[in-house]
Amino acid sequence: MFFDTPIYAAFLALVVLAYWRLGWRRQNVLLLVASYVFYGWWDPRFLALIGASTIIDFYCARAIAGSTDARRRRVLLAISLVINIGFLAAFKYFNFFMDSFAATLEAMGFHHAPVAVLQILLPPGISFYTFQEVAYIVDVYKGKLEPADSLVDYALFISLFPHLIAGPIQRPSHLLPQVQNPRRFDSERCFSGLLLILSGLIRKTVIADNCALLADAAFSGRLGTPNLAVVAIGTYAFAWQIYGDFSGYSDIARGSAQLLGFHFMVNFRQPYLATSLQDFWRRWHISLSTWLRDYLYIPLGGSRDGERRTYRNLLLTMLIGGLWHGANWTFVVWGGIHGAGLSIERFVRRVFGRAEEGSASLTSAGAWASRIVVFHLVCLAWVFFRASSMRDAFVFLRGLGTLAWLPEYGIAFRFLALFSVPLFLIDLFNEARGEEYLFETAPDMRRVAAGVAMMAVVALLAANQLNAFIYFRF
Amino acid sequence: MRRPIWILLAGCLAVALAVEVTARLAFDRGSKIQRRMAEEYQTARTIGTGAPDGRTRVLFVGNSLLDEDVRFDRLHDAVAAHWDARRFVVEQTFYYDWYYALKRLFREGARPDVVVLMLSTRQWLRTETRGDYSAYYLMGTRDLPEAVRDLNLNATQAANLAFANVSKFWGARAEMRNFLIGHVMPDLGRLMAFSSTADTTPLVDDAVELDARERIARLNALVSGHGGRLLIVLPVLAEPRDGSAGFMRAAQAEHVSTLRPVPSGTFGLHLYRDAGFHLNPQGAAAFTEQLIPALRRAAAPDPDPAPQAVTPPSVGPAPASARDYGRGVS
Repeated sequence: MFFDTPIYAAFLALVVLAYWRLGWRRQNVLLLVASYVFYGWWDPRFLALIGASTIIDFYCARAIAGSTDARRRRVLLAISLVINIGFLAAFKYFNFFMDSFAATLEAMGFHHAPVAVLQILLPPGISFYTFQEVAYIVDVYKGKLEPADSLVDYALFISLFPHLIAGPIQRPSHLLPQVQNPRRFDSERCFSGLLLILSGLIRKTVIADNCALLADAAFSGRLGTPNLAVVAIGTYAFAWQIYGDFSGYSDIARGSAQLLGFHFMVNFRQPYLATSLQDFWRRWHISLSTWLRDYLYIPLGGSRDGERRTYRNLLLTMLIGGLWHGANWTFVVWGGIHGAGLSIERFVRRVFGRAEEGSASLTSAGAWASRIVVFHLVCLAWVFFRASSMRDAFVFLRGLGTLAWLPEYGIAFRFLALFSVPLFLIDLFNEARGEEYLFETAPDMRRVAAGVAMMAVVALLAANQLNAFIYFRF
Repeated sequence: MRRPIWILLAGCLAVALAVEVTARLAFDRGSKIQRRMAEEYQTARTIGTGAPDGRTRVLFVGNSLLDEDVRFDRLHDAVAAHWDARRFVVEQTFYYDWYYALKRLFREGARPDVVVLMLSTRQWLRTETRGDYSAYYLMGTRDLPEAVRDLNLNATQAANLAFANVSKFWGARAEMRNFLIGHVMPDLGRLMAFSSTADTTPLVDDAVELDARERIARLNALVSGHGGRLLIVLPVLAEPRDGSAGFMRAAQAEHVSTLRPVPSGTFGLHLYRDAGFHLNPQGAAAFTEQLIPALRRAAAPDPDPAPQAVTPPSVGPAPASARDYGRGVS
């Protein structure tokens, strides 16, 4: 069930209406059933997987918390992690590693090596809920969190439908208490939830899906052999597509959660206004970057063991973060570019003795120069993220060295501007006012007018594609 | 609950109602293509419903290939003495669009003596439709479960199809958006034409024969079940290996006449308006002149279902893997 379809609107309306008529315990049961219906809508067989990993983690966590034997606790933690990561590896990475292994054998002269390949479907959202399960079990192991008493509560924490498929990845310490305690109806939260949903729909169906038309045309060669103009059109279009797509998803997820009385963390804060890569990762997919920081970068040693170790940790974290996105070397390279960029940035900052920047001014020419450089570095990395293979990425990037112009490219740039410039202006506006979404702090009637206007824009300008959100596949 | 929430919900509902009402009252009149389509639909659904005038009632259906490759005014005039020829064209449509459109037309009373369907072999074999647009304009509500099975739709897609079937706005929203953006950027069509490519990967005749047979039989059963005869016209594409030989063998086995007035690969590229898919006016004139006598022969009382042309010798790139009917423009 995609967030931008009438069936989701009907589903959400029904759930919200029924939900606020029930007491707290029944609300949780209703939400759990609704979340499983939402997930099973793709393929009911996937429910077995999420159900199994939920039950295993629930009991592992309780056993860890109930034990004082350090060795037993470690074994239980290992069992849980192996099962969670094992499911992820089997469903998402098995074929990738086997293909890579076969390619290595081929390169070494062992032709036609018999390598097993699994014919399996990737369960939607497995990367997201696995990370959430890992965070839970690690937090319980470290004593930062009490294990859930109720299987229903824990299952709901994992499967709550607004975040189930593509996040934001919720921290156990943030979401679990909300599940375990009664929610109160808050009309302001509901109101801003509705506005967030409308804002998300614009980002996804109007901006992302229209930009996708250009990105797809450029990357598939339908705008001709790659040249500077085609690479620019394709890369910029994809940059705005993925931003609109994922931030739109996050807005709808957060808005839906707010209608149910939950609060989800902010996932995007004007990322293309970042003045450094470090700043970018404080603004882009915040729930993932903070997860990687807390559960990977810091356990690896973070910045505690000297500069060289820090660079290694940054690179490793981003490489794994890249691989988390998809089973393809292109994602590893994408992560590698960001990891190397973060390390170089840190090195330069240390050599020149510059402190970490806070929020840069919107009127400083220097800050704008940094923004332009960072945006283009991010765009370069997006080429690898978007390309279906390393070869495709390099063929596409080779076009940077070819100058050519056709009148159609001018039309493409104008079409791109039509959809990307408004989002850029909204970001500027939100950045200047420190708001999460347009008119967040405006008087009610102005917010109502903005909401109705957004509905009209969605109705009239949404690209007619039943496009899955990009992050659904991760 | 606070008042602004109710006002916002009411405002959103009002927008939804407004676009639905606009779609129902104004869209088919405001857009030239929609107006033409709506008029053709009306003439198609009334074919064969009036008093017989001794002429054979022939309904031509198809997509942009019929629209652009056949000069229908010329064809209509040439056969007017003996045929009541009518046309119903919907762009970007495929086999299933027409299977369900004909089902709906028959149910609404259309009774043509002959149904002429013009699609490329690839369009016959692709398992898709024009989506929401087809759901509203071409499909009947009672056919939706069957369409969902035929098209292998998942639950979300099926729900979308059902919604589009009842909401004209939802069915036509892509066209409404194109209409609006077209006014903001009048030259956008040029970019769309530039960036759309037809799949010209060669097709394997044996695979086409195997896959086409069931579809031909099914459509033929539908048409003959309503007292009509099915006649298939294959367009002339620049790529000679378009699977038409295999397709014609399948049609012959089902006793369905297939016309290939000009074998693919025999027209020069100067007769096409794009890279070998749609003909330009000069090509359309040449194709139509070949089609008219072939149609006359095939629509005679005792038709010969045998193929009327042979596949020219194979040249060009290697064929695609069997059953990969890819993407294409229609």
